[in-house]
Amino acid sequence: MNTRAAKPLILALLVVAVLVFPLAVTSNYWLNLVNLSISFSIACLGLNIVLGYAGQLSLAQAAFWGVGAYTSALLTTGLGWPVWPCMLIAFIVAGLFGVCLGIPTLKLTGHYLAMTTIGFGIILQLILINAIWLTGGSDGITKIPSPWLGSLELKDPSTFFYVAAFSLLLLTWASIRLKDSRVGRAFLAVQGNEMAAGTMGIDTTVYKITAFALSAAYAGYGGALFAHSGSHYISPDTFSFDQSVVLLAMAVLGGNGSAIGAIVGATLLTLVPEVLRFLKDSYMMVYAAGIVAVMIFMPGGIAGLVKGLPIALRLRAWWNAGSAATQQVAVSVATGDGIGGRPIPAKAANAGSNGTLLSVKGLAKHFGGLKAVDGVDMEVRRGEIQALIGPNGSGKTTILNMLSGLYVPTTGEISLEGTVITGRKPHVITAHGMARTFQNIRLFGELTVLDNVLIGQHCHSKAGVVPSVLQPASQQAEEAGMRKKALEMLEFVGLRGKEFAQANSLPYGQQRLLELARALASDPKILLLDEPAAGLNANETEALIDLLFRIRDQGITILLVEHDMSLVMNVSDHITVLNFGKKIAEGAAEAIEKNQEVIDAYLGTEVGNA
Amino acid sequence: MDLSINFQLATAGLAMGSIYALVALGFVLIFNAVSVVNFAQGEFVMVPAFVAVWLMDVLKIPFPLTYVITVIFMGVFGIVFQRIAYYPLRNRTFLPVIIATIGVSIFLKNAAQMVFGAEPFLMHRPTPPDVLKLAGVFIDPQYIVIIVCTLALLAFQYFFFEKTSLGKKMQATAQDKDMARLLGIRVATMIAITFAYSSILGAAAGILVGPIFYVTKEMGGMLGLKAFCSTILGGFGSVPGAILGGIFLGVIEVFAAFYISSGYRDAFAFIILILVLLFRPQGFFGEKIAEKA
Repeated sequence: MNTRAAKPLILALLVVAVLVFPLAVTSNYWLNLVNLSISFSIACLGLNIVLGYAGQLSLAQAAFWGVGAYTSALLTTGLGWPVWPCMLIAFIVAGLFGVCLGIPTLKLTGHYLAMTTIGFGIILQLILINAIWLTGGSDGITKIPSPWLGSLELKDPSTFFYVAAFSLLLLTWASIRLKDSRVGRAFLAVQGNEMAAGTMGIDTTVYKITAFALSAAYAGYGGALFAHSGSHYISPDTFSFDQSVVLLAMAVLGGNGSAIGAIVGATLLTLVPEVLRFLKDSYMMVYAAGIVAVMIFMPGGIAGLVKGLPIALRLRAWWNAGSAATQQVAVSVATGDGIGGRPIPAKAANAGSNGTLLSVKGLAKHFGGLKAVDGVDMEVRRGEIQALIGPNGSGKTTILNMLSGLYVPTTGEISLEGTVITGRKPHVITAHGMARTFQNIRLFGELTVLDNVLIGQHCHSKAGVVPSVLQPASQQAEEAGMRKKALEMLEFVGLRGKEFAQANSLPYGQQRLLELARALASDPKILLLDEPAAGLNANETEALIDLLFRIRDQGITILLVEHDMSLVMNVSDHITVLNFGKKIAEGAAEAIEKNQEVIDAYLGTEVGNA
Repeated sequence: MDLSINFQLATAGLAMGSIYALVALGFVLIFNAVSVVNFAQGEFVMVPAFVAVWLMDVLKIPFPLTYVITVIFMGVFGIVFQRIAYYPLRNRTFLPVIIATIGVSIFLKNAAQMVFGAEPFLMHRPTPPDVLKLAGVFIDPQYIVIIVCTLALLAFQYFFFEKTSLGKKMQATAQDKDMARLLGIRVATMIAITFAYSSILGAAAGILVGPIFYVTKEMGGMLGLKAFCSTILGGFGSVPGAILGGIFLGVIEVFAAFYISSGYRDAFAFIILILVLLFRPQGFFGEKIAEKA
């Protein structure tokens, strides 16, 4: 069946399943448990956004869950506000707390991030216990009201189930839509390689904070559901570090990055302890041992196990067949659109005009006592291919890193088209028209070829979180336009037909080409290439040389760091030579080849003569 | 302010800080050896505390022998622990390892409850129970025991790592496993010994803190987290950093709890941690935390 036709049918089936469920399961005990597992599921969906999409560990999820629960409970019991708006307010307030966590953790990864989120969660819990005037302290809040639907109070577990289940459906839908959008790709790029994400024009700061905020908001809403159901009672000890750990275990058990997995994980870990209760005292031990066993034996979680099954592969293929991306690629092949090397739309300002595009004055970078780059002046002229060469350790890559904003120069000034960009963030520099590739390829390996090139266009597109979820016509048009351009880029470098291959499944040479296509997709005025020929065979190097000329012919200036001298001498209009962080020569290829100082730098001088 | 109160607080802070330092050292040694953050480090304190109480109360074993048995037990415990929670996951990213260590921690807490019950125990003191009065200042003698024993352990550790062949092999393993292996060092054994030693540090902390804290299944949780804080404050991966970070945290916490708010006692460590990470992410003795291009 056609996927497009199937989608409303799937939705209808889900709605019917929700409507029928309380009729099938009549036990209030089990319905309360299911409601609880839905509350956990929503918190895990949030965790899946921050951890599974953006790759940032959060061990404070239970605290945000608690913030949501307390917000809604306090507003409804203290001020007597109706429940529905308070649940929304809980979503927003928890999101704001998420921003508060996001800001101090920006520069942190791994264990630092883990510890900070733990600390944040513990501080929040202590506030719940100690701010008695606000929260009632350890006694908690009792008699939290139920929501009303007209004159019907949704107090029974069976009626509240509808509130919980439809919330879950909506939030799951939103998080799945988000993943396959400009915002979702930016999250995945931050997870895949934060440094490359920055040089692709993604403001990693903003996206990390956004991920923390969304994650916390989800948790807050889940918490509000918890407060208004079950025992209608909350107290601080529920929102502990241990609970955050359990939420994390749920998300990881389900499969990191999979929304459905997060729900399955949350449901299992809520219901399994109930099933294990016959074990009496030891059930928590069995549960904990199970978590350890899952980590050891199921690296990809449940989603990882299921993903490889033939039926899952077939389902996925069928589902993807209906996606806008697949159809657009198929149509472009059928109509010959984007085939035949249509030129990259060159920047009008680039074409024709001469003069300096990039200017570097007195640039230096010191690492402690090591002067990696020590006062380099350099100019790159518009429309040329310039090479930056020098022996190992002469500071070439350090210069590229300063140009692209990864390093802040110790002193010196960099200006692009007259605009000073010294020390700006990588994504700002990319937006000014500078793109780069890396010596050791930094693709987003888990993503498709097409997604990699789409991420390259990040700074020229603008759909934010809300359009990415709601996907109005304007967002769909933007996506279609980006895909069209991505296909052109892939055609330009010769990777058509590989759109849906996973980037790290490509052979090495093609990965280099893909990195080029991704950089070109940002419409650069100048392209920085860090050893593009490294690891290529002779044929591939030939093709690369041809490609470099074609890129230059589109009016894009190239600054190249390369060790392959025949390539450098072949393509360069101008060469700058570095040694020990200082410029020792510059000029046309022929002059450089004969320069005695350059020869000495590469071959060394005899000690006696030095 | 009353000087004698401050002196009393300082003693308590140094004692608490010594405990943090011991646990933090265990963290750092394991982290340096295998790049694993062990979230069960707090349970490395809780388990020996229970073991020691059980040996003393139930088997009526005298003090010195109890300590020896507990230390040996924890050495074996550390080796078993690494075999379960680290070894199968040694080639994986840090997330599954973190969760596995957390899983072990939950397991141990509940195992302790099942074996010893939910009632808190108070460990016997090796010293007379009377409070010492020195120049008008009241001091719990156990604080002195803690501080002196910690200093002795640190001296032993310095000697062990700097002057013995085994200590140097362990250091070599921590710095570069492949190179150590090429030099004929049994890397897996060194790692197992590191875990055992880290666990023995926990045993020391558990025995020392037992008489002033109640021995409960939860006693290790906050202790472990604060020790982790200490390592970050001192500069992650730095041995002197972990020790100074722990002592700093212990002292600050006791004073802040007394002068600012006792309800937020457990929050100060984390507030300081977040502030330090904001303004000086490398800690006092910093490792660099930026990725290389």
